[in-house]
Amino acid sequence: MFNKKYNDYSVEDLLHDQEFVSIVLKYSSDKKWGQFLESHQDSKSNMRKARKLILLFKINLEQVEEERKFKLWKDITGFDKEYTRKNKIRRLRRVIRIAASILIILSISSVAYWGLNQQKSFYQFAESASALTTDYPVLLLANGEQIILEKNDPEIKFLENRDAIIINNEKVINISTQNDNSEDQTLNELLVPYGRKSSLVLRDGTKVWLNAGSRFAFPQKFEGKKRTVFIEGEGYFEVAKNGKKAFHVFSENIEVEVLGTKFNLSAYSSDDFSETVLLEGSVNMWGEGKLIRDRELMKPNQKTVFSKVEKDLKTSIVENPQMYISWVEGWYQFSKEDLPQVLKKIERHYNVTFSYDKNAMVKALPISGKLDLNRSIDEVMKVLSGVAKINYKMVDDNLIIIN
Amino acid sequence: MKQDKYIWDEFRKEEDYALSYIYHQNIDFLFYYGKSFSKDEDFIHDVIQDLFFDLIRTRKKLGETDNIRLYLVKSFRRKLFRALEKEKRQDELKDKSGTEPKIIFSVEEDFILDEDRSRKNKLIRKGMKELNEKQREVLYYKFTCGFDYGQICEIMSISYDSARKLVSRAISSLRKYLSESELFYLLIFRKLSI
Repeated sequence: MFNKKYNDYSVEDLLHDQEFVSIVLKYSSDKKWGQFLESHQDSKSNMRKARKLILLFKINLEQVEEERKFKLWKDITGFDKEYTRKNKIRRLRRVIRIAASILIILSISSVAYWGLNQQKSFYQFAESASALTTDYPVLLLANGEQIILEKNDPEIKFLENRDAIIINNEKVINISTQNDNSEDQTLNELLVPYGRKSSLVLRDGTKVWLNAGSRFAFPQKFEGKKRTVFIEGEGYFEVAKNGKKAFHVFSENIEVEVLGTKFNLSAYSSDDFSETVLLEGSVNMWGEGKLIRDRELMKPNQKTVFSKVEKDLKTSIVENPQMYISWVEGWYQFSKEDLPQVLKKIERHYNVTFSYDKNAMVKALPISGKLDLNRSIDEVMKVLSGVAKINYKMVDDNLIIIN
Repeated sequence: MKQDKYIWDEFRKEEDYALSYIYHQNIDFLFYYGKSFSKDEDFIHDVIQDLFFDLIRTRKKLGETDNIRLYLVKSFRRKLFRALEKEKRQDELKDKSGTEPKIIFSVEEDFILDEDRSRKNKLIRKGMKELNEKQREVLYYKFTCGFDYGQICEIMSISYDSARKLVSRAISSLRKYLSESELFYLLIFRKLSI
């Protein structure tokens, strides 16, 4: 339904396909696998056969005891010290020693799926990024149900003490929560495709607006000591106060911890930065560091940007924080914004693609002003080309060439 | 993978934390990998120790990598095969056939008491038995570990085409047995329903 891939794959094609094999190995629970099958109706039977074959090659081994691993580690560091001491008198690098002991604690984690690629701690969304090109936002419930939201700017509300949601204040859907606490908690996901936006009220009363091209994962109920959600894309959060349970938003590179505040978080994988703008309250923000994560305690009217290239956080004061959440109301406001950044936002909102020469962009003027997102793309382009002094050509419905 | 390159460079520069990071990120995998070839945990322990001692001794001369695990698997495999060969020679001087270590998949070892299933299993096992050591290794990387062909070629030093061919051939011979076992099921079902 989402993914046309695999449609005419033979069993052998599937077995050769790296992505498919990874999915089989990753979705070890029958439930997840079942969901995946459901979204590929046409290739179900071949997929079942291929999976059967793949799973023949399981090797179940007993876990190695921690004690053994620890002893081996001691022998290795012992050898390391001895060997390097003999060779060289070394300066002690105290700071790094401390970092090393932190790393040891952080890195003792067991991983069930042995990929060669680095394991990311970030949440894995059930649907691949290509799902963001669907026509309407889709709510994927933890129980496997899919709800397609066909109205403009849908509003989803999780009721406080009931397992039910209300959509657009009219339709009530009961959610059967299965009592499978044994499995790790599956999250609900909301996919907002390009050209759309949505809003959501979580069970704790927190309100989240999601911008075009975003994915958001959240639990049915906030259990445990923290309220944890995951986002890729852009969201504006009004977090309900709860002094006992901090609210944590994770994106691929940054984590934001709040008690009760209003802030905007933008973390698109297509941008080379992620940023948070705080409107009210205070938040802690961490950015993935080279080794140790950077942390910033943010105050209202501040913006903290994480650079994916430099891997650091930079905080600055913003004069008009409302500007960053204007998209919630259906417009964008820019103040001396670089043209490529403006184009990226237009791409997401209008579901179009720009093609341009990066060098030509240097000459383009920075953009200031309002952009009404209810206007058609033709109107927007006319105004933009005048302001930025660029020429453009609409090739078809969704490709625009700038020169 | 950028991070891997950075950590590896730090290791070569003798930064202490890098060794710790490399060890703890990979030790579970290395044991799993080793134990897939030999159930003797003490033996695997020694090979892993040897691997790390060597890394420490030669750290200044090590090449670059942006995938530490892949780098480790490659040198670990070399050491492991050499050590297994040596052991084999010592253990059974008489039997000289096949120097490559053999992976045994769990299906081949399962002892299921249920009669039907064990008969079905017999067929699958028969099919598995026909896999040679090279095929077993490729299938292990591909379906047990989930590596891609590029990585498999690097580990086994074979070409992309031969890796694919090894997989294809193994699959088609196994599928024969699988469909036979399915047929067997059908027959039983028919008998019961008559």
